Amino acid sequence: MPAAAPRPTPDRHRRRRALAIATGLALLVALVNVVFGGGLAAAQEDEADISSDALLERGAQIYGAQCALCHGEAGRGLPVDGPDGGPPLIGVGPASVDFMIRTGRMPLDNANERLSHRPQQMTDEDRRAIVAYVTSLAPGEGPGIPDIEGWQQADLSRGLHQFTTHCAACHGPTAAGVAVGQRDVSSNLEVSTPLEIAEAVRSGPGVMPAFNEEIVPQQDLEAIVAWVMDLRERESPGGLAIGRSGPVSEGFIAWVLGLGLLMIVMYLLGEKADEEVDDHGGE
Amino acid sequence: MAASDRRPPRTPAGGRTKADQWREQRKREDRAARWAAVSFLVAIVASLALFVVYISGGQAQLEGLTLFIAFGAVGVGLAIWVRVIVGPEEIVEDRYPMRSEDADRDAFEELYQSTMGEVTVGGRRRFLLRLLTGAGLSLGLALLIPIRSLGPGPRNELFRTEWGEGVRVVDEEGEPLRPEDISPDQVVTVFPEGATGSADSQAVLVGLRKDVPTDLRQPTVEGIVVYSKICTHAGCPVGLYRAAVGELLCPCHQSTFGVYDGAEVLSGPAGRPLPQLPIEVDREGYLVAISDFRVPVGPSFWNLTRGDGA
Amino acid sequence: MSTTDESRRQSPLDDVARWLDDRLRLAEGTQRYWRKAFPAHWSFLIGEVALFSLVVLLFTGTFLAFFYVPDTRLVVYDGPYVPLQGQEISAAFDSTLRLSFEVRGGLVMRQIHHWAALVFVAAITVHMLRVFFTGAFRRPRELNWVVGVILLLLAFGAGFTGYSLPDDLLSGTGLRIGYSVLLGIPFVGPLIGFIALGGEYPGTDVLGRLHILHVMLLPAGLIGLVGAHLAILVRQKHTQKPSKKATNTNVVGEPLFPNQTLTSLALFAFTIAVLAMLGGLFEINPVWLYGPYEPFQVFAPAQPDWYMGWLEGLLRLWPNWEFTILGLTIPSTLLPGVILPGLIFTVVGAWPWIDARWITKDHEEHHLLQRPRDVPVRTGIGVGGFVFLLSIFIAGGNDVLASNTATGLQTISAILRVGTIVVPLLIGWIAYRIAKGLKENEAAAARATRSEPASGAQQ
Repeated sequence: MPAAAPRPTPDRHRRRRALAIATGLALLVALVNVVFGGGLAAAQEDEADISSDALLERGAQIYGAQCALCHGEAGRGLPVDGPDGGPPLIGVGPASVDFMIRTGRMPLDNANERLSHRPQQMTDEDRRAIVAYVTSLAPGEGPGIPDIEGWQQADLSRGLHQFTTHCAACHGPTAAGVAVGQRDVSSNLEVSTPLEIAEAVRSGPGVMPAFNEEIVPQQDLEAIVAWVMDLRERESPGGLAIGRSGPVSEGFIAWVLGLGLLMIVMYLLGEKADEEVDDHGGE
Repeated sequence: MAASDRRPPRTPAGGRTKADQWREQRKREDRAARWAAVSFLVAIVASLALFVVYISGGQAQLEGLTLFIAFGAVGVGLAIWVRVIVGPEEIVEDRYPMRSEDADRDAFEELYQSTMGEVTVGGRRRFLLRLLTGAGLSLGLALLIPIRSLGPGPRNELFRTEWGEGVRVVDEEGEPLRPEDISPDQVVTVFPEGATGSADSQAVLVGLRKDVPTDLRQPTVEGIVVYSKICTHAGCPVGLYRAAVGELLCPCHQSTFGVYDGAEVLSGPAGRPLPQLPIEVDREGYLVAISDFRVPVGPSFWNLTRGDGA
Repeated sequence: MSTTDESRRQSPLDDVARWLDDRLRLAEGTQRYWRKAFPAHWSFLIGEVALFSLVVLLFTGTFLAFFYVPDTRLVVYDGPYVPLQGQEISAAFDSTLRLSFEVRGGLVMRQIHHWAALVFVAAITVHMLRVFFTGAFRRPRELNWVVGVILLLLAFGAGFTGYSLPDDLLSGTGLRIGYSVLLGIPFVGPLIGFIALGGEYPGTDVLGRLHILHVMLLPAGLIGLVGAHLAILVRQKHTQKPSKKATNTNVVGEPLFPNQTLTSLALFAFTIAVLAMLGGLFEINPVWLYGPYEPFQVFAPAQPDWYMGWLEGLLRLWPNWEFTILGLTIPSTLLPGVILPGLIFTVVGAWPWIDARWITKDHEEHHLLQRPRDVPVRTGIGVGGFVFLLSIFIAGGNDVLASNTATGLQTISAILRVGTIVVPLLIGWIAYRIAKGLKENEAAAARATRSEPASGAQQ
């Protein structure tokens, strides 16, 4: 969802791998579901714990150690054009902070590093603490962590339509991501969890625009999540879809496998140059 | 026409007799014939398998695969047949220059002159021929007329959209929008009320950040700007919004437009900015257009700056 | 012969042949062509693959035409594909989905058709390159070269109209660009655009018109011109590589029957096999993922089929030069979208005359092929031109390239803008030097072998 280059994983081929990998994937999906369930629980916990002083204190501590260098004292930010400059965090809302840490984009080791999807760089507990702390700097401002419990019941048809209206322009019809500017590549949503997708929609990380309740109501948000998750698991009835990157990969296959194979056939069927005496020069 | 000559047999190697060679040749052909036969059998089996796949409900991959095997096997069989069993054969055919013999040309020219004479000789005949030519040309012109029926000529369609004074700004669902619905960095496709989905009236509404200075060409509501969504280059919807830098990007040919600078072209092949829709808030608090776009939307055309004459 | 006469008379096929000959006087003509000589070098088979792909296109296309509905009227989708159920889509898109998910064998037919189109144009391209670099277009074959170029244009047209038919989001985007380029033609652009669509974009008649073009006019043109292409070929006989036997006044090759017939049949079978393999195993144009066309929706990356890539690339690379002179606006699409492609096709079409007039200065009749080194200037220009087309083709996928190489989008475009001019000149010049060097070396070697015996005799 958020624009981040380089691409999280170079792996763009998805459908139909060897059976073993497929099984592995299925397990992974199951795992993701479990984690996701946990994520939801965590999200709810967050709201319950937000006022807890211990959590806030812990958040302030970690913030001071890991975030303040760039984002400044109490989330006030440092000039972005200076060294180690980071944007202010006051009022960005819980969704944004949670997304950034959850997807491993933050914390960065140094400010020049580009944001990329990584495993979470801290414990869930620490993440909750930071979210609580940053939220406390401007309570009630910015998008909260969305609750998308209902996504599995959401209308796929609505999801496809809403995805095409709001998301496909940057992420592509198959959510595979593409270059959307000089420094930015829209994320491949292959590795995103439902909660991460929803958080990104609401908070608009990186160069991505944000979509509030008025533009993308809760029901549509769940539908979009449902479609992205469905897209990922959806079989390709047409066969192997290498990269699903449309006419580019199709043209490549047509030349290499189509005409390429036929050229080999032609070469075997016809007469080769070495079969006859070469005798030029009369021209 | 063709003097056919089979390729000369290779010189017998190391003491083998003609009979040996002949037997070897036979053996090779037998082997090839067996392989060709196997290929054709495979083709038969694959074709039958295709039948089964089809009758039992069909499955695209299996259909493709059986077709591939069937035709591939036929190809292999035929290839063995022609390359091994029939074997290479070389014939030489004569070729003549493409130009006709002089005598033929002369004869035809004479024939032409004498027969054309029957049509053209004499003033009246020549006159008739000219009129016939004229009739042919006029008819040809007349037959072009139906092409004109294919579509109406452009009147002012390219200069007008469904937007106009007091027309509400609605989203894709037809819901009117209020300024407070839009927060910074929001982007939403909007239409004039009553023309949701309209191709030439589609516009993109962007929520502006408070702290970024703007340089806009048309009056607008604070924190909001609306541009035509049709790229001024080749007409694709300018669907990508890079909120952090305030750039709209067209996914077709990558023209970028600066949202805070009146959609000025920042890079890419587009020749002019996206037209901005002048907007205000009506008495009930909804966003409305002050007027239609003040310049034509979409890709440029020759009389773009001349106006529609209305 | 006489020994088998008795048994032959028994065959019913013989009776048919005799019946036909009684009425059509066939024996004489058939006899003449039964043993026609076909040069057997493998590169002569490339054109046949194009022909066979066309046959596959006609057969699969006929099947598809039985189901396709060229209508933009909205219907509610109620087929088996869940993510579109209940959506209002055009009858055209609905029929495409029905073909893909409900008609038995429909998906594989649709995919074979689309793959065949891609391979068809690819085969034409390679065939054309062979003819170009071996000088096979020289007198007396200028006319057939022109017919070939028109065939290529028709193939482009058939491809474009074809992938516009499903009325999915990608096809609509292509149509929008095509209309916009038409609109930009000075004075008549808007009129042409309106006539093409039956009104302002998106019009209501466009699918019906594209359909008639795609299933009737363009195929008729293709079939007719392929017929002319082959008739001229038979009339003029094949070119051939020069050898001890093969001269300018003969044709050396395999006879039409049995060798060439069996070879062609085998190649036909292989062509179908490869296209069926692609159609069955590789997904192409999954319109159900793209969704129906809505004028305000779009997605990136949006590429046309490969053979349109060079046109797309020109549009992407061209600078945003747009002028208004005396009230006449010249849109930035006019040069890359109309004039430059027109110019390229004119030069390609007129190449036999350009070649004879300025490069070889040779207006004689030729039936022997040249090697690229024999005419270094032509080879240089050809390689340069091909590299130019290749680089604007690559530019057509600049966004995909940028994301796959982790290079900036604008950086890629800037590199390609310069590269498109510099690289073809450079590589063309290198090709020219190599060809010239090879030619000179050969000439020197030939002089050496000729003078050796002479000097030996003097001593």
